[in-house]
Amino acid sequence: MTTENPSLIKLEGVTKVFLTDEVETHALSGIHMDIRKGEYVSIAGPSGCGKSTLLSILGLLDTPTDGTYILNGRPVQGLTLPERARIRNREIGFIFQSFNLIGDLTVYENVELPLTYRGMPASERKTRVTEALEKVGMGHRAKHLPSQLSGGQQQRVAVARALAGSPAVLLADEPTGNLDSKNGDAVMELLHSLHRAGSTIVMVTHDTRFARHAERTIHVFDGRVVEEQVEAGSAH
Amino acid sequence: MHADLRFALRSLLKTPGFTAVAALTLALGIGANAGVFSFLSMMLVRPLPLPAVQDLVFIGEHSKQVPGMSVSYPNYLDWRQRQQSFTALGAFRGQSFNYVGPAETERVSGAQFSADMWPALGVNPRLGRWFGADDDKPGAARTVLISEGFWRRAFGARDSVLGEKLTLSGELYTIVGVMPADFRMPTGTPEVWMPFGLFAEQNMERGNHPGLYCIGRLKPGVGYDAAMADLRTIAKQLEQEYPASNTGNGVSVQRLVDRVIGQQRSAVWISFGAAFGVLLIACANVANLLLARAAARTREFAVRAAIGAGRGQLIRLVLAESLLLGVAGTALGLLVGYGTMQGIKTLIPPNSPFVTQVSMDGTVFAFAVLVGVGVTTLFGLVPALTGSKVNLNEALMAGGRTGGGHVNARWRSVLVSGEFALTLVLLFTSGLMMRTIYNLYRADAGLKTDHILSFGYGLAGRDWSEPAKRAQLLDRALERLRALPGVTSVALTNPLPMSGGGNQTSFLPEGLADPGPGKRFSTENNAASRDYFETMRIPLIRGRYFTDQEKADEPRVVIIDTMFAETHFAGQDPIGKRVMMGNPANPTALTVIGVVGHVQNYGIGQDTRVQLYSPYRQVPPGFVSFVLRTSVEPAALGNSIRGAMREIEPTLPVFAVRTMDEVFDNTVTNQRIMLTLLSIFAGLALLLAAIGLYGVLSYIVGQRTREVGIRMALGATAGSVRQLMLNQGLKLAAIGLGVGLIACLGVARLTASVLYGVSPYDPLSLGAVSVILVAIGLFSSWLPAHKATRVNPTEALRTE
Repeated sequence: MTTENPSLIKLEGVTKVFLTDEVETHALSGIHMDIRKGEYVSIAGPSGCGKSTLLSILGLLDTPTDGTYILNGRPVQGLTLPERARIRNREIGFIFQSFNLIGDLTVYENVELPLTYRGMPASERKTRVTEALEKVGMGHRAKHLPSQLSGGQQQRVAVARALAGSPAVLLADEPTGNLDSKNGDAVMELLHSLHRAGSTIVMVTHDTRFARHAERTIHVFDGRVVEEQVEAGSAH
Repeated sequence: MHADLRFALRSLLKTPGFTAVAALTLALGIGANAGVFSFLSMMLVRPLPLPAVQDLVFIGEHSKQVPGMSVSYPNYLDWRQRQQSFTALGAFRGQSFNYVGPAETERVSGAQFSADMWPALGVNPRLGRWFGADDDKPGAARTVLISEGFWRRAFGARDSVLGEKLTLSGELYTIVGVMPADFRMPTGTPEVWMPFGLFAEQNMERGNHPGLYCIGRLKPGVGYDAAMADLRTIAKQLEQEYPASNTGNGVSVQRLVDRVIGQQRSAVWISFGAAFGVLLIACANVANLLLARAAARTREFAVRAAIGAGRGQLIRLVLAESLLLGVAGTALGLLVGYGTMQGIKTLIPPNSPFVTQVSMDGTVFAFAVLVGVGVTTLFGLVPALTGSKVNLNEALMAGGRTGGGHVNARWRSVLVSGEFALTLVLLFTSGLMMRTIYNLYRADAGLKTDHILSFGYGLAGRDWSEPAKRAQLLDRALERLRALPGVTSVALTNPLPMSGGGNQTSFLPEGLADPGPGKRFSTENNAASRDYFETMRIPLIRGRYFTDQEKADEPRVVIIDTMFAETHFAGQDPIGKRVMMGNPANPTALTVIGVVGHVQNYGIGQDTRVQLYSPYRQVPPGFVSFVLRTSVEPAALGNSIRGAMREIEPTLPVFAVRTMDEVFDNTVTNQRIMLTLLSIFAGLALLLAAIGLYGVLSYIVGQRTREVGIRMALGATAGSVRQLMLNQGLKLAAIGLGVGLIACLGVARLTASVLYGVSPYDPLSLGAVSVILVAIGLFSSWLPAHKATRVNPTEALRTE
């Protein structure tokens, strides 16, 4: 636990309302949250509780209807679309349940993709991609296409892609949801080792078994934070 | 199949928007083809309304000086007597006459035929009889056949017309027959035919080539080459027998069909090629629509396959839709084709034998059905084959969203690149024609055609046989016309430049030893009045123009053109030099008084020869063209000209009243028609290709929505997403461009014969149309690319 660390993500009274066919759906209702640098936080809750919406807002893929979101000391409301894209690219790394690798690109190109958006020179990109792939144990598969890999391998590539840009935070959305238990455990172990190396991780999961890997679990229900739980064995 | 068709019909009716767009797209392609094919069919299947037209040959003469020379009448008589290859060998020449009708005098076009022309052509009169050998000789009673149109117009279609009299250019003829409505000469549309033999006495000099040509019908079993050899042997014999007139003269033989359609052949084939290109593009677009439709129906096909449908049955299902679309497109296409055909007809000069013959007959109908249904079904195979290849597990488990998406997109990309390649070829060909027309109109013809009105005037017949009388009438006419308001200068000439006619005469510069028959020089021999050169803005280079002093009894003078001077008086002052013309034993001396600019008198880009002008008073022609330079719109003077000329001589009609701009336009008819058609087809192709690219890219954007979401999550900006999609569109356009460039080089050889002043590989045209195509590619890709930037990443990533 690193309570002395500065706040990386701070949500104050964040709400999200969807309007469909004149029906208001309150996906999030007054969420307050504070995540510090180096923390490993899981957001848990049943399907439809709003945890994925919360993760989208955290990842700047969506905007809150109300409330304040401060990322790395900077309020993100009112940012232009290019500014949001820039922050996503430099400060956030995504890990999705369904991997979301681009099928037409090789493993190497997938990992390289966020770096190309950053306008990074090719030589530096090469170093970073190689490092990231080595870190997840996929260096030998750089020239393969995603379709030539198993689910676990694809997720490891997705993790490498998230890591390559050295983001301030890794956002993982049900990272084991599409994996069997063996591969799921391996990915969780990978996230754990990244955390140990200093990464800040926010993971959404509905599986309490995996939620326990985090230092702190925030339980969400009906769009509200209903409980926060600090894991006893969080030291790992 | 019946059930498939029924289901396909129901399915098409359920999506009226798709069906309408597909059927209309096909209709445009099929219609363009049917319209142009109506001309091609006329050319290939029934080029002339004559029986066994493939057995007819057209015969002329040639010499070193005059490559395309008419036939000497005595030569024709010898050919006819000695030949072994033809069942009949006839001779004819075009001639127009003044006809004194009940209301007014008019000029009618006609032809003088030897009696053998009728069995050679093999067309029977609708009424009455042909004229025979007894009619076809000097001193015979004057007989005439008339056209069906003339019979209706002048004689109210009376059956009793046979035996009635007709006055043509002052001579009385007895009508012996009426020709059928569809009979027309390969060279035009005469209204009267009379025996050439009546005028034979004036044409018995063997060295005289009076505009006569021959048509022969091959005997059964005799080939074209054998007939040609036969005639050449006779020509050699005649050369030996009559060296004074025949030395160096040969016989030119051509299939009649080639003679008639030769010039139009390239134009029609190129236009047809362009129309077929449009059809292919239209079919590619419809195939693209069907591919999108098949992709959306993956789940339906999977369900059908799951309950036992074989791949063949699925293919049949998709093909049934293509077939129905082909039928609907063909039906609509025939209407579009009729409109296209009528539109093309308006571009062709009305006196062309092509215009009235072209129709949407059974052949065109069969072609449209065959091509429309055939090509559509063929293109329908692509969606049928890809759509029927179903991965059951994927399709059913994934809720119908997957299944052949990549294969489908690849095919669609291939089709749209193909469309761009074809469009480039059409645009390039159109660009070349545009440059050709520009060059033709910009080229220096040697005279200025603007603000000039011209008309024909014939002084034929017994009343005008006296040259002095003709000269007096022409003098009066010039004076009267000069007084018309709006006329700044008036002149006469014969022949009118660029009207297709020409008189060639052999001559020798004075002092040059006679090289002997067939080796003398040849010149265009024109008549002109005092103000002709100034009226036509033909520049005087040396010496002077004609004056009113050159009269019949004065020594003969001539004005020559620069080409004449450079060819025959190189390095000398031609003024005062003399050229010797006429019978070599007793030639007439003509003194050069001036040198004027050379005129492209057969049209820009056509063969041209040295030119010589004589003052009309010294040799008054029986046929002239007046030219009037006006300070007002020249066409507006038509009526006042007719009135003035009627005052001068009411029995002589004014005819062929045209501006010189129109006369010039006629020399570039082929190119103008091609430019119009190619521009329309290229525009259509461009539109269809743009729609095709838009459709494919929209489809690809739809397919890549999730990918776009991922890219945005990873930090892609709207600009980079737009660029990604634009690149995809431009890549397809660029592939098409590359293939199209290669195709353009292949097509270049075919277009070379119809171009003027521009290379068939013209880099400027190629560059310009490539830029246009890239711009269209960019334009068509912009909307789908922009749509991609509107993708909501959260939504896109949720699409699992």
